[in-house]
Amino acid sequence: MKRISLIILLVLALLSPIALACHPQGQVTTSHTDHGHAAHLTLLDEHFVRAPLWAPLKDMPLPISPGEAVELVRDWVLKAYKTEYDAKVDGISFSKMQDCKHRDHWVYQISFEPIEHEQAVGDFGHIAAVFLDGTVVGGYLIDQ
Amino acid sequence: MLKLGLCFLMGLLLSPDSVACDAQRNSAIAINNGVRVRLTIPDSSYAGQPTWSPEDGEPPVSITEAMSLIQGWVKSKHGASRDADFNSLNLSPGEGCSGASAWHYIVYFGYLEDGEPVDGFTDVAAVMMDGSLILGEVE
Repeated sequence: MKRISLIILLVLALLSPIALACHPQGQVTTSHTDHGHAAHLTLLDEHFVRAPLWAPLKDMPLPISPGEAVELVRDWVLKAYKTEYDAKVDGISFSKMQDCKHRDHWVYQISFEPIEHEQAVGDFGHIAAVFLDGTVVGGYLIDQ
Repeated sequence: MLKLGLCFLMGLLLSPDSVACDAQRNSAIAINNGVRVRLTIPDSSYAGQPTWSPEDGEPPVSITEAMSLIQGWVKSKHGASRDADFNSLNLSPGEGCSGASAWHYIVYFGYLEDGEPVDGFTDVAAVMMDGSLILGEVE
């Protein structure tokens, strides 16, 4: 568990805005998780086109709150994984994109453990992005 | 930019389980051209915090409230012409040496002077769920 929590925080760190550099096919972040798996999260231009811009301190209501973002990820897990699964959220990052094409976009990145009947499924963390239009983009894991 | 990126990497190594219980247990670091800004969350700050976890719905302090708290501090510290320029807010759990735990925001932000970025400087602060603010200090 100690190793997992450290790695989850490392995943969030690697998903910082700085890590999301321009990429011709979209934006790909790769970070190692645990037990020989790597999490990949790909944010495409089309996601940004749909998502509204947001700016802090401008009296603009935040379109998606942290609680709503978590609920969107939990709903997504039900569809994407297995109907019995839920998500235990370990960390929420809300970051301004710093890349050349998508400044002034803010994106949630939520790390979680899939759980089934309140028990963790697997020994590694997962990741999903939530755009401010409510679109959820799940990370995927590959064996190393 | 690489150094700025490192601040996120180092700053998020906050795992309460990852190191022994000591003063550096819950700390975050922002690095700016060789200047290190360290945020250390005192053990006492975890006591008496509102209980919250992501499954409970909205946090007691919203993202916009956390930003407003930082902005208020920036104005009081640096004057009306300066604003916070937010990079990211990380909502994560922390735990004090006493065993008390609480979620908090770790906020990375720069500064704007009359709307223009101030030399790429990144600061770091924590916003606890009771609305208290803990500021980083230049080492």
